[in-house]
Amino acid sequence: MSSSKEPPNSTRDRLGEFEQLALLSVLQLGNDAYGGQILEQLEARAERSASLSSVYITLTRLEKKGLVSSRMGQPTEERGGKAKRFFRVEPSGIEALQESRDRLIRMWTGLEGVLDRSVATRGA
Amino acid sequence: MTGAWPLVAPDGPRPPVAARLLLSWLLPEALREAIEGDLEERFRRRAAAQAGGPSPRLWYWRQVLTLRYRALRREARGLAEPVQSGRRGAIWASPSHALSSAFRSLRARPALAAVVVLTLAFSIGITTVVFSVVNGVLLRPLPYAEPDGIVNVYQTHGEWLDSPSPQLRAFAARFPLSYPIFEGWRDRNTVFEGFGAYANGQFTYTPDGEPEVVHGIHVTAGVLPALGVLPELGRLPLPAEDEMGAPPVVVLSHGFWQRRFGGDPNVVGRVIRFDDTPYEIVGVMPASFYFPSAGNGVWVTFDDELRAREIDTQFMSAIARVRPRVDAETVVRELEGLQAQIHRDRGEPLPNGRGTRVESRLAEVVGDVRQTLLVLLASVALVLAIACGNVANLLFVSGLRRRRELAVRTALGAGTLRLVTGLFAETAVLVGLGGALGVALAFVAHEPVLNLLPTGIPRTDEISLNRTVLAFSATLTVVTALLAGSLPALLAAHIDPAHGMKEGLRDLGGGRGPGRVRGALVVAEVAVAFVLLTGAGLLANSFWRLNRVDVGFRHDHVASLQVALPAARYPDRDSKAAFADELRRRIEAIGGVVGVAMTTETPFGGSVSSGSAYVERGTGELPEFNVELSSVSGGYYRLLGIPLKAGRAFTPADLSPGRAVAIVSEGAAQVLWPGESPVGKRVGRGSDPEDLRWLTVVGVVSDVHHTSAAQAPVPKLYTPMMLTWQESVDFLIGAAGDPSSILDQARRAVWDTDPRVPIRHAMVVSDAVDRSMAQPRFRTVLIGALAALSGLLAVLGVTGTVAFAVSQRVPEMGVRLALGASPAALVAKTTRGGFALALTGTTIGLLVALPAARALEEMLFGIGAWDVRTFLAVVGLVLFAGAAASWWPARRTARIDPVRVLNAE
Repeated sequence: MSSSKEPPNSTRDRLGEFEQLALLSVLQLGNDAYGGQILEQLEARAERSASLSSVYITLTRLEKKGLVSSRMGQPTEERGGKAKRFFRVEPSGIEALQESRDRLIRMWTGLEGVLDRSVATRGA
Repeated sequence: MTGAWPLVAPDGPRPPVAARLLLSWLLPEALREAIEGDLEERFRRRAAAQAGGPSPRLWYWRQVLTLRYRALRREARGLAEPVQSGRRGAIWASPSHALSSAFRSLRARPALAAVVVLTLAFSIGITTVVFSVVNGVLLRPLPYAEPDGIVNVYQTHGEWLDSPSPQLRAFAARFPLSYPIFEGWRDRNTVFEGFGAYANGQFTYTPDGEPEVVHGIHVTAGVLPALGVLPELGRLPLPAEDEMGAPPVVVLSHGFWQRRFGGDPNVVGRVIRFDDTPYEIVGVMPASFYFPSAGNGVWVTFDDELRAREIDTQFMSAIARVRPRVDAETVVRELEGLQAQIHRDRGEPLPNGRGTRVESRLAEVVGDVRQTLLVLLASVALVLAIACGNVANLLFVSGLRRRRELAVRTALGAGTLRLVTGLFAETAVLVGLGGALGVALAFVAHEPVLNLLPTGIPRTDEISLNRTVLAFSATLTVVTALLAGSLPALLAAHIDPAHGMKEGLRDLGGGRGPGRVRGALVVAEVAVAFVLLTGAGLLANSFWRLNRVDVGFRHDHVASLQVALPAARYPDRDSKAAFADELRRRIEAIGGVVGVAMTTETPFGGSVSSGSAYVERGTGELPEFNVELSSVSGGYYRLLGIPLKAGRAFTPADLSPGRAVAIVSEGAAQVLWPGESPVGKRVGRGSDPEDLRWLTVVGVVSDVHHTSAAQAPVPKLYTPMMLTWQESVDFLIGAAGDPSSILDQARRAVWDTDPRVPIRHAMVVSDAVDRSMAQPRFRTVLIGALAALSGLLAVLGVTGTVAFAVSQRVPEMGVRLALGASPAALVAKTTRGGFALALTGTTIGLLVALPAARALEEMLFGIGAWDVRTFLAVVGLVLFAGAAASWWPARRTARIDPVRVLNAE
């Protein structure tokens, strides 16, 4: 395709919070990540209520950026003869997740005490 | 076959069908299967768990209704379809799937969809309207039983068939019957099941208050049975009522019965008086019945005076129902034999060239409108063909632009058949929308177009957008869809996935198969538009000339009022003259009236009389000429501004019985006395050369068109208005201002003079002149509009093609520019490509238009069908438009930035 159209070394958009959660869910699920499961993973592990729409909107956007890829599986009977769309995080997606994590860690550095205190104050 | 749907229906509950369809319809294709599957999976799990909370069906509906479709579609755009593992799509897209994906695909290209739908809507709309007119006037059967067997029967007049006057020629070709000929044919023929004769009549009906002129038809007993329509009430006239001395009877039309008798069911047996003659009402015809034309009030039997007329008085038309399996030739042969026999039996020779003519009733009713309507229908078909070509072209180009997408889909396993059905579905959706909108447009435009119809067109009340017309439009739409859809489908069938993905769309559509077809389409469009434009040009040129014809008299500010003088009330010249003088005095007293004159027939008033005029030659010869005849009063020429060329106008002294004078038109003077001054010469009037009335010519006036601007003035003989034999008089009223405002007051003046005198016509003469232009105007306006539409579509076709070629050649142009080609030269080269199409189209169009123009010959005035100037003008116009349509998109080549283009490479 036309990768030449993208300016070289662009400052890639930073991942939003939901994007990070979605990518992490896909990684958690390994090779079997598809829409419904990702949604359940988000609800179970991140305790985050999400909708199927947001999952697909987000993952599709990430796919167009090349951070994830997808493939269609076999149609199955319990899905009314429809196939699953399996998502996989690409190396650039991992890279983006690492960047996000590094950025957060940098920001967190030295603040642990402050936050602990505020939690303590609130709890008192 | 493995399909998108498993062959074995899955067990267990399934989500609501409506919700599933809605979901499938709203989701973007790329995500549809995944999301549908996810929702179904979760639905089943809920259904199996039977947990509390909302029912699974309700839950499913809520999911379907709350998905964020717009955002999903936005994100899915540009997303490649995922590779499927070991599975191909159905080779044939299911109709509902094809249609819904067609809708989605078109929603993504609203501009294309709008252009295509509007093009089709306009073409199908106007075709529908024109077809409704053709159907109502030409195609619908007459409201009689088995109308195909009904014919009109005429005599022919051999000598007048070669007359220079077209009216006389038309009259000679359909020469009326005399009563003896009718009786002979009726009693002795073996070819007819039914046969009858009829003649126009006008009766004054004065039951109370205002007198009314009733248009009635004298019919013999055979006429109504031959038409095969039974009366609504009572009976039809009986054969015995054709006999001498039989009491007169009348059959009422449904309208007359409703209007005058309030639909009284006991009307049969009552007596009604027309012109002081009592008629017994024997029947009422049904509402749908008319004969011979719409708007006739009553049918009465002939009276004894008419039955007693001799064989040299021809005044009747005849209608017959031919026996089954008898052809027209047999009919004519038998009737001509009888004709000779009837004359022989009466001891009179059969006049030279007398023959018989038989013509289908429908042809007689439709008359000369047929040609105009067929030309119109052909034009509309051509416009539709161009629209079809344009749509095919647009879809084709958009198909090329999507070639890459199609190639990907092919690579992913979508079979050619599936692509073709998909593309056809898109076309079907577009054409269907266009057709629906077109029919809606037809309903809107129907009324205005009907108002444009000339008054002379028969059967206009039978024009409607009925089931036949709508079925026609539906068929048209389907055919259009097939034609317009085949080209993009052809393209799909040519898809080579590897080629399509590798090359993109850069170098496609040039010389290869589909591209050639597309070029040919544009050439054909230009050719068709050229043909229509020449037709419109010829008609417009001819109409312009017709409009500039000087009819020879002043018709603005003149009104005409035809007053009947019933013989019972005005039996002689003195009583008529007294009435006319009194009425003239009253009209002259109306404010704004500048003059009053009388005549037997107002120019453009619809009636014309002609007869023979004999001239003495020194050699003793007595040549006969056919001339138009009018009686006029003294002020006639002044009022109508007809210049006197020699001698004098009529004076009151000319009305004294001993005087026998005439005035001739310039044309008559040239024909009757070539090279001589006619003033003082004598002209003989009458049908028998042995017994002529000799008139002395006292003046010459300039020529006047009497029936239409298109028809050259016929030699004319004027006599003074003596009021001896006339049963009606036309009063011409000159007005200082608007003549229509005076008509009402003039009507009142008639009734003030005598309340029992009926007014037959009241009109503004310039309106009548205008109406005589109605049919040329109708076809000029309509065909002009169609030609303009076709020209516009053809220009769009050329522009679109060139624009597309330019968009494909951007990289090539970039390279050329980088290598030093001048932008102007590139623009010229691209323009030339488009212009070549226009030039080829024009050449082919010219070859078609030359013979096609012959069809218009009879409709043209003042120019021939091969009018060089019109043809040159249209050639110039089309080539100029073709050049402009090519240059406009070609300019873009000059603005290509070579650096950017080469970078992109």
